[in-house]
Amino acid sequence: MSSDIKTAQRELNGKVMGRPGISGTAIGIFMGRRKRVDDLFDGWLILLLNIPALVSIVLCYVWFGLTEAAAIFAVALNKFPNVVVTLREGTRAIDRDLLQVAEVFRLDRRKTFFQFFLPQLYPYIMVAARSGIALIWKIVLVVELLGRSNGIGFQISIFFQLFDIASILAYTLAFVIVMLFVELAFVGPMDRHITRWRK
Amino acid sequence: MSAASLDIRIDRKAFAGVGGGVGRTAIEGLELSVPANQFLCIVGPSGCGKTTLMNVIAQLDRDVAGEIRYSNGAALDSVRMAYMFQTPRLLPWLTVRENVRVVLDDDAAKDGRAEALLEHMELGDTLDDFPNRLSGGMQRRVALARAFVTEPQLLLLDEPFVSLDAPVGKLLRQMLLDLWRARPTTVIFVTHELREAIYLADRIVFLSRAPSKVILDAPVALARPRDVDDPAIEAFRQDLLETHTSLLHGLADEDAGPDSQTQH
Repeated sequence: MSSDIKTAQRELNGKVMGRPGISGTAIGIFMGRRKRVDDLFDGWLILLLNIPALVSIVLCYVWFGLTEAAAIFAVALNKFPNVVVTLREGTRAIDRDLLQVAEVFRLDRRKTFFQFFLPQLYPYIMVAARSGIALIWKIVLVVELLGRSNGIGFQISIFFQLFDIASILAYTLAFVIVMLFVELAFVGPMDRHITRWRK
Repeated sequence: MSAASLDIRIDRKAFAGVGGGVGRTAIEGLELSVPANQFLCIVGPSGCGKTTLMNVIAQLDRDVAGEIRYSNGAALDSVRMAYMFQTPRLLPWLTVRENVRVVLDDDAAKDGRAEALLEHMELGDTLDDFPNRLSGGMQRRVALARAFVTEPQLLLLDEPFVSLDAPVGKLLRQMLLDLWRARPTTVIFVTHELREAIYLADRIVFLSRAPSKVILDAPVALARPRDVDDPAIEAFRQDLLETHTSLLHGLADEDAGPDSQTQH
């Protein structure tokens, strides 16, 4: 069970969830709003999106050493471009008619952003969060398999050597239960709260 | 600050063509002065650039050769403006109350004026409902409340009552006039319905087809309060159309009366 906890810790680590989430959202919005920023980063984005997770993980370990920080960074690096792409699409779909309301009534930037702009992005943020959580846990296992001496990924490599299918499935099931709990206790209620007006 | 009076001069407003091709000229050589507290209706055929004109006045569209000047010397950005669009444009994730409050500054939002106005407009029971639960007519009433709550110095309305059934349209026009009488301000109201314009306005300005300019400027001297079904309104309309037959040609056949409007 301690492996589960270790993996969950890595999955839910603020640096993994928060930083790529927030910076990815900010850059995604920028790219959606400003053509020049989009032109500048578009190539890099495609590059990042298409680098195999295995490659970026191995490179992180080689460059930064077999450390926890390198592991966390590798996971974040894999999630980041997905957030950017999702939020860029969301920003392009923004309803300008509503922004015109804020403009005519001369509302300040803060109010315009938080009341008129950001709520239109909530569905996209939820997509990025949900797919992010799922993606991260897959990447975390590879990171653990390749360069950590604890966590589910590390355990699985041992069970693989022993061909111990039952243990592999047991670990998987345990982690699925943890993720289901995260969905039911946090993501689901948050989603329902911000979309309550749709009913 | 008191209601705004403004001078509008638009030399030319064009939209660029696709891929830098020849564009479409929407407005050319349009001049118009609106004194304070006047209820001005702008009438023109569909697609003549009425909405474009409103967007220029509201400064949503600044890509124009021309000038909007406020006669009392007020800077463009300091005039308190409200705009009611063709669709209600309410924020679906805010309640009715929040939708009206959102255009107020923080102090004004707390002093209950939003709620008082909504109560006055018979929306007191829906304060905490989301807009998508309301009928089209009620959504427009909320949009009207949002437009009035800031006590604008200039109020723009762009065919705000289209695609409503007859009694609802009538009620909303009535409410607009009541609010305007209680809180006088300069109003520019766009419509393609001559009868609606005569019912509402102090003065009607007719626009030509695109590129639009003013082709007729007619004061409406009927006494207020007016009644939609008053024969005087119909008589005024007939008189206008007969006096300016060639000028207003094409307007009349689109004018089937305010209560049988369809969305364009």
